[in-house]
Amino acid sequence: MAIVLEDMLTRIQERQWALGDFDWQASGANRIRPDQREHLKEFMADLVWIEHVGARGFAALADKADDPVLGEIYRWFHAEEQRHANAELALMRRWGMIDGDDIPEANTNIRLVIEWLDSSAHTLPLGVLTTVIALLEVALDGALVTFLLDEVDDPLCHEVFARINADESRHLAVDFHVMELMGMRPQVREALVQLATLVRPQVLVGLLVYLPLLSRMRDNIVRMGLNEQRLYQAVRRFDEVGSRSHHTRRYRPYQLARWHARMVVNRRHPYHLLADTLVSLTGRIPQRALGPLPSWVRSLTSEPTA
Amino acid sequence: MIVTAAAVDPAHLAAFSGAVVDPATAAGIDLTGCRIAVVVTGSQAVDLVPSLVGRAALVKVFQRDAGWVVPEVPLVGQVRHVPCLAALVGRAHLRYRIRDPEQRRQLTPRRGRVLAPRSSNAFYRAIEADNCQLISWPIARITAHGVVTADGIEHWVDTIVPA
Repeated sequence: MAIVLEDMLTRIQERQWALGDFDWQASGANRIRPDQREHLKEFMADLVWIEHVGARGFAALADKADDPVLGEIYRWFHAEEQRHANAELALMRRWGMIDGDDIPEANTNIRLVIEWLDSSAHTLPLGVLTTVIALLEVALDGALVTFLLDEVDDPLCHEVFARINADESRHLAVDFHVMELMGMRPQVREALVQLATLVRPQVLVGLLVYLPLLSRMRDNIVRMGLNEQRLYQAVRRFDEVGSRSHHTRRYRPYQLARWHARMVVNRRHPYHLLADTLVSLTGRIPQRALGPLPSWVRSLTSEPTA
Repeated sequence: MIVTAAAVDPAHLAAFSGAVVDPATAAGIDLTGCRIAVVVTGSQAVDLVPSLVGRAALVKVFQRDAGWVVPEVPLVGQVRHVPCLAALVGRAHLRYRIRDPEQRRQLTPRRGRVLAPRSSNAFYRAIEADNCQLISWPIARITAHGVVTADGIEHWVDTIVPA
């Protein structure tokens, strides 16, 4: 799993692509069936927001990385996640799901995560944030995108996601590399740091915001027809890749993330009593109580040129 | 440590079909109505951007790394020579001048990637002008039409000023 960060940075810089590399007017947009349009719109909206939130996570990592090369890689990843969100918006526009520079509305759980990221992302240690992002990317890559490509017949959608997946595989390689490095540190000291992190009020609030988001998204996508087996496979992949390294395996945030992911994908697990309660409670928060979206959200665009 | 962003590679600029203007000569060139990309590679942009914003139709400032900008007031301006004071005064100046938290984040120097401190009263005002955009995404490539950033967007301009 060990990678040379300098080589990775060069590879990232060499493999850049832009929205302008695709012909958004190419034929195939009409292959979206009328019966799938409404569900697909919700699915894509969630995907756009997850990418956008992921971008913000990488921005926080860029500020936290002690290694300047790793910091630079995270700065590129921040931009790449934004590019994914922009490309997915452009697909939504191509399919007539949004007009002009419209942005789909974010649900309450996404709004809460955005607010938390804006104010408190810096309180999480680098390794913990990396682990959470890696888990979300494995789910995105292994379950959501595979499902989307099975469902959607538009060739341009497949072209775009081939590029997005190539980016994501580099993100995952770096995420697992960082987890491995974290696992090499003296684990008793690390455990104390993690414990001190966990009792911070911002982190506890972060957990209350993250848990219902994950549950709500899980239920949304299963309702859209995603086979639950796909989610199990994604978690198994997170397990398999992490297990290749002894150091990653012993890294506690990785163990916790894996344990939590197993509970999330198993709908019969009692954990869902807590998660469902949180989803229900957060669903009662009125939109006006959330305040305006931060200005960084305005950087989303489906226009290839500006 | 003071480092500057990597200089724009002249080989990459060769792909651009518009004008590439040397910052030293920009003051003498008529840029009225132009769409200009200022690719920041050092702290010269602090002096250059305000003069361009007053003349051009649109100025896009591509700035990955930032430096503290202290107010140009007698004595206060001199704190730029003392790094810890420059950071203290620069942070207060930034907080006072820039209303948008995201722009403040973009203009805050990051650990290990700090441009030399400068003094200016006009820079932040120019950044907030309606015809100025601050872009901090990494530059992926320069094309015939402008600058492609890593968020996948091609910024169309007719003039590039590497500053």
